[in-house]
Amino acid sequence: MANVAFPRIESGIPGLDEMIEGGFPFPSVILVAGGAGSGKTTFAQKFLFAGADKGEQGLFFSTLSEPAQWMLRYAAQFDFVKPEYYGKEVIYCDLGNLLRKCTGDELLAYIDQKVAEVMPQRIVIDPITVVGSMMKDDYRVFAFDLTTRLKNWQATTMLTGEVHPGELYPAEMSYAVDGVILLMLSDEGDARRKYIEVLKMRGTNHLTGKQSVDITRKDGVIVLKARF
Amino acid sequence: MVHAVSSVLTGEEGSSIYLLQVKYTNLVRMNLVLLKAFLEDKKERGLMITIDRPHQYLSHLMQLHGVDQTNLVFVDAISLHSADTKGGEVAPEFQMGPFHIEALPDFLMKHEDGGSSFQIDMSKIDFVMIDNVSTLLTYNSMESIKRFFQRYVDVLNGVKSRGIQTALVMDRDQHTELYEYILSLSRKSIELGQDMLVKGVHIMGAQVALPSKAVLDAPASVNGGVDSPPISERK
Repeated sequence: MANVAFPRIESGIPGLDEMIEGGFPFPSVILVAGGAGSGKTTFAQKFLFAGADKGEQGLFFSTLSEPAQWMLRYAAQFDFVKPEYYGKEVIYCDLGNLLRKCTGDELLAYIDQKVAEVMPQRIVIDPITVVGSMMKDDYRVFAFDLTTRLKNWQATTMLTGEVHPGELYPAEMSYAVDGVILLMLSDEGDARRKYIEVLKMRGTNHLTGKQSVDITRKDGVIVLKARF
Repeated sequence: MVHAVSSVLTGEEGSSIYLLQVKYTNLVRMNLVLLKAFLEDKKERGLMITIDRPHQYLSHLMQLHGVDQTNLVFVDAISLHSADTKGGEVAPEFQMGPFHIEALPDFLMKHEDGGSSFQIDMSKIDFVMIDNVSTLLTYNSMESIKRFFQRYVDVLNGVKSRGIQTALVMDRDQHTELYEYILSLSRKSIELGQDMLVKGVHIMGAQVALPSKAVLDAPASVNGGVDSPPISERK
């Protein structure tokens, strides 16, 4: 049988694609996990705006971390954020109110409907971990159904995951997704440094180990050092 | 755009294969444009074989974008292997799965003969699509795919005197060998850009036909985009 290569889409994160054979598999679901201030939302925004620059449709679901209104005010500080994409190439959808009262199946149905309407090639759910803590249903089943559906809609989805101090990544969601990327903060002397690590990327011979990252106004999250 | 696409899918005698080249991120959108072209613009009846994902996704998409599915039959070759819980109308399932694609043409004929509870009358089918053809390579060798197409063409030619049109959407750069093989079976290839504009129509065995300026300017919107004049083909 022919060795079939995955189609891939560029992550939009300078230095990352070289670590993952050219980009994220398309379609796939990628979990970006990290603590507060590690750059998860900036990472996800860049993923969508980089796609929009290429003519790809983006859809951003916010849950219960930061309302879109405030997230966009902070995001406006980055050069890569183009307000002319808002509501067109990059569509924002708030799941917060729905999350307060719905079941897992109702949430899946809503996401299904919105994805079918927008037909995005890139999706973000930021953060997904809130859903787990609010859900009365079996979260493992929900995670499986969600990732299956998102891939079958033919999109690459980025889920952001909040982690508690001492925790590397949200365990339940990590089994359901195709890739796990860790954004880490590390105390080193007087400095707090940022790192990225590709923990898992199905179908990809990815670089292992921590790589330094920085967050700049121009490009958002960038990988500073990669042993290519 | 829908009209522009449907205009290049006409005028042929007998069964034909049309190959549409788009970037892989646009496969879903192109399939929806094609379904609109066949079902709404040309008022034809069709068969959609789903291999990449359960048929419910495309069905949901059509429903949401207002495309009438009355004249479309799905044959689902992947649902049994997908563990997907998405609800929707039941469709005939090709239970051998995508791993035995060579058997699919005869499966369609078996249905035509009333050999199962689902009835697919191929004599009433005007077009066939596969969602999507590149996925065949995930489950089959190139040799098996060639045997599938050889049998498929034989079956279609025997079913209906006025022919069945098959529209296949592919990204040439993803699977060059498969693309070239299907191209060799095709009557026309139609190239669309990343912006989903028609860039060129190639009639196999004839010189390249260029689309008109109006077509080049028309976006391939699936939400009621501007219809364009037919593409002028020069042989």
